Amino acid sequence: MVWHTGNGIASANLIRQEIALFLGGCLLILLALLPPVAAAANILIVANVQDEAHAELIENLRTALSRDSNNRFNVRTIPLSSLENATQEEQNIPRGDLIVTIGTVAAQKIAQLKVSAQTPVLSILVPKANIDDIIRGRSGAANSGQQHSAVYLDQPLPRQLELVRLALPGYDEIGALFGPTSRMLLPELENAAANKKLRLRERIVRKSDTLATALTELLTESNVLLAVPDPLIFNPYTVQNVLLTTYRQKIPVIGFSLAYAKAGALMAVYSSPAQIAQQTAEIIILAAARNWQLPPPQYPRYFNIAVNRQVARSLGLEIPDESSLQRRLRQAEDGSS
Amino acid sequence: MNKKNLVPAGASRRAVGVAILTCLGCGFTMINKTNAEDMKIGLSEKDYLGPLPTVLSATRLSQPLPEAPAAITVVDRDMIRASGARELADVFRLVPGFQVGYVSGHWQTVTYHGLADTYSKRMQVLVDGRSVYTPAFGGVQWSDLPLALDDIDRIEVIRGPNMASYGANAVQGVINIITRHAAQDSGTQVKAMGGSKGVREGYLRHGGAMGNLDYRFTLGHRQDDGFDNRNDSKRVSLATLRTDYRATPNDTLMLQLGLNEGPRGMGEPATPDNPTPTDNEHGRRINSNYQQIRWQHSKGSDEEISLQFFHNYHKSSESWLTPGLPILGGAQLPMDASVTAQRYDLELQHNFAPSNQWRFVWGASTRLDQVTSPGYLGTQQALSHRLYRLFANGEWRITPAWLLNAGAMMEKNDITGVDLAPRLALNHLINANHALRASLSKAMRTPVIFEDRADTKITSGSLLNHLYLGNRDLLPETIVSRELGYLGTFPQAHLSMDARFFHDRISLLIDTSLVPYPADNVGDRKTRQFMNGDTATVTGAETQIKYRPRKGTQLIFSYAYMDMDSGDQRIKYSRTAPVNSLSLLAMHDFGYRVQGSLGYYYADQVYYIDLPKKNIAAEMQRLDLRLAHLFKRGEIAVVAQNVLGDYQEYRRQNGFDTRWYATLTLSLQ
Repeated sequence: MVWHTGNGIASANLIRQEIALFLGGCLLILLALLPPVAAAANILIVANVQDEAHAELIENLRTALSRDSNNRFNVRTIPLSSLENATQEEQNIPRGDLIVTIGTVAAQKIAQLKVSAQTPVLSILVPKANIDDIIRGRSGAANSGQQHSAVYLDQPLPRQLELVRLALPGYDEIGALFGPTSRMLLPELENAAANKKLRLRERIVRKSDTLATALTELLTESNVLLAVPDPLIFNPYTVQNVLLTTYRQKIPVIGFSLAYAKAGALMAVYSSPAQIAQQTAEIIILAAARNWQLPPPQYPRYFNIAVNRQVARSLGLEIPDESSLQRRLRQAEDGSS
Repeated sequence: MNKKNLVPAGASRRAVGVAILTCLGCGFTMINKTNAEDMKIGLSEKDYLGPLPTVLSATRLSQPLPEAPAAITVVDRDMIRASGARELADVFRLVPGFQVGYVSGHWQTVTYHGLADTYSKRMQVLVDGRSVYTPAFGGVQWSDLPLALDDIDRIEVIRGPNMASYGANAVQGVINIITRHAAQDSGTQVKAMGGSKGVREGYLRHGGAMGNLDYRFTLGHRQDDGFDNRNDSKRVSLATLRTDYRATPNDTLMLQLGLNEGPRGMGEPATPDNPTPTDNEHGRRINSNYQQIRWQHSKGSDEEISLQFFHNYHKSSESWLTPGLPILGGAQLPMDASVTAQRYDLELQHNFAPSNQWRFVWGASTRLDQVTSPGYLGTQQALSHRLYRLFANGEWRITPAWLLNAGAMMEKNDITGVDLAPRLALNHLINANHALRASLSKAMRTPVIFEDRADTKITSGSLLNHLYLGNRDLLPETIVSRELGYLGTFPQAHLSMDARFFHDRISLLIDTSLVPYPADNVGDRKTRQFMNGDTATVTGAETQIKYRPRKGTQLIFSYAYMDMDSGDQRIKYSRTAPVNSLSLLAMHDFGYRVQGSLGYYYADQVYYIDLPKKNIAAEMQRLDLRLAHLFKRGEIAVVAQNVLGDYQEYRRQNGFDTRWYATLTLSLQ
């Protein structure tokens, strides 16, 4: 070996590199010899990479998976745009052990494509109403044998009701507006309310022009409004009217997203993309150990609570701090499950 | 409370133009794509993760009453409806310490704690942050406001001076009228009203949305004959437009236009009761309009910046021939009392809450008031009054139970130079149900243009009478107000109450003194010149109690006791507030879609400053009743006003007898 002339530091660095390479090589050999021999698992993520929430989620998911010491995950992102022109027959998706779709559009796309029927699909960041439809729609289709599970974007209704109980004791008349999309949640919410000894007041809105009337009527019977996701009722256009009308009547609103708490809802329980990523990683790691058997679709496990302090104050409400609410809410859920 | 919803202006036209262009620019370049695509697939993750506009921003949120630095009465839509009021001014009878007087059928004077005349000069009145008192004489011409009662969402009345937040004229109180956001009304509503005294009213209101733009327009016509045996009828044509445009989730642009136009009956023939020999029955034509634009930028719910510009225009055209005047050998003289007043106002405001303990608002504004009135001001020129203001208000939550509010406004104007108005309030929240407040504030009233520049002469070749003369050396009237307040809720008893004890001292009161004609060398002819003079104090207590025994039934009671004291050198100020005044509003839902309400009002005698003693009205009491039937698409209601028999409004000659009217409101889809 020829020693380069040069300064001592450069030479020392070179020596360190050589040693590192050698040690690294030994480590690789050792790892390869380790028993359960997980071959790298191939995880394909189908997402809209331009979307900030998707990108954040992917980033978090990669980090969480890389922390797992038992498995080696090969995570590959397939931009949704590359599938845009794909026909059903095309099989241009690489082989993988698990396909993770982010968002409704990706879930729909994958459900339409005849990807290798054996690859299980896990859809995340999807509204429950959407993904339930997609999964149900597949049951008759050719690729019905394919496993398809999900982590919903929606918070479980009992969690939202429990939050009302904890933060607003005495507010036992829960108003809820349902639209064409959310209607099917009504029986579930009725049940959940009955279990918590809360009274549910509801109105079903079929057309957007009857929203104002329905809301006004509902507010005369309720002392808190629970926002249930439905594009007809809660969208950036209607939020002005809903929040102003409820505020004028001093009725607090429980929102389903952080944006709601910022816009003027009293509080919201929601899961961040990072929290969904954490749960997804846990599902993937578990599935990897069970020959890619996926659990049934589930609600978000981790959640945050946001309280709009200015609104609380203006309504004259004393709301406990977020972390204590979160802790008590988790305790209540652990206790009942 | 809307911390300072308003602001002034007077900016140069160039600055104003730039501001408007900037606002429009940001509005139109930031147009959002519609979510039509997302809507097609139903629910989308954007519904959960996407941004939303900040709806309840710092300026829209009201401060909880126990934490407010002043006594506040909120009159909401339901109260306005239940009161049966047809004129906005009548609504203020529900507020403790307020007096309402009908100078004529279309002219009301609304005062708090006395010192009133035809013009109630010491109150700040805002409609959506737009200052509407007239720069010519002070006071608000309530019937001339381009505003329909049904467009009002609520009225917040701050009882007591609050110049530190609301600027000049916020001497005795602040009336903050907040109209409904355009998004709150959708669809079409028609309303028709008819009743005694020639009352005929019709309204068409329509609200809708186009993408990110919500709009509402209201068209209306109202007319009535006023008092019996008086030439004080009014016909009002009304048109208003409000649009709220959401440029981005955090930027909104509000635009308002309004118009109020029509004839009013004026004047009285020369009778022993009429102290003005040149008066005669005649007509006045009102043309009042405004344009207002406000850009609001929210950074979450804790911070907000707004920029507002508005322009008010009020033209009152009136001319007549006097009766035959003995001094002219029985000849008649042409008179002209036309006044054109304009206000341009530009304001920047910044609200922010750096932590849970601190909240701040500060801002700056500039205003130009202009009045043209050859008859009153003796010149064809427009006289102007410029105003620059800088204000800041901070709230410090020392501990959860102690709150300190401190604020100040520095104002520079053409008439009195630089004035500084500070205020300080300490609130103690004893527990969730009881709170105490102590506050100290100082405020100034800058003379209005008439007081500064009046030159009102009657001439016919030679000078016959020099009626009024302005005074360029006037100092601002100054009020120092001290108060102790209590707010309590008694949930078991379904009762809440607010009480306050106050002591207000107003000095350098501006009124007129007789001085020799400036044109005459010998002092045998006198004119009235505006001078700083007396001091008046008002000491008293007032309370408001709300009782809600069950859903659908509510009682709102208010009472004020006022002890006024003054040197009474030229004017009997000490009699200008009623010693006792009270109101009671009762609302009940009888079921079967029938609602009834009752309003009772009582006030001891009030001496309005400009009335001869023999014309002073007696104490007043009045009972109004309202019965309404609601149906799916609307409401039918009957109102009877003053069912107890005649009383005198403002002066002895204005007999208010029993009146009634009926309304039909229909919502069309």
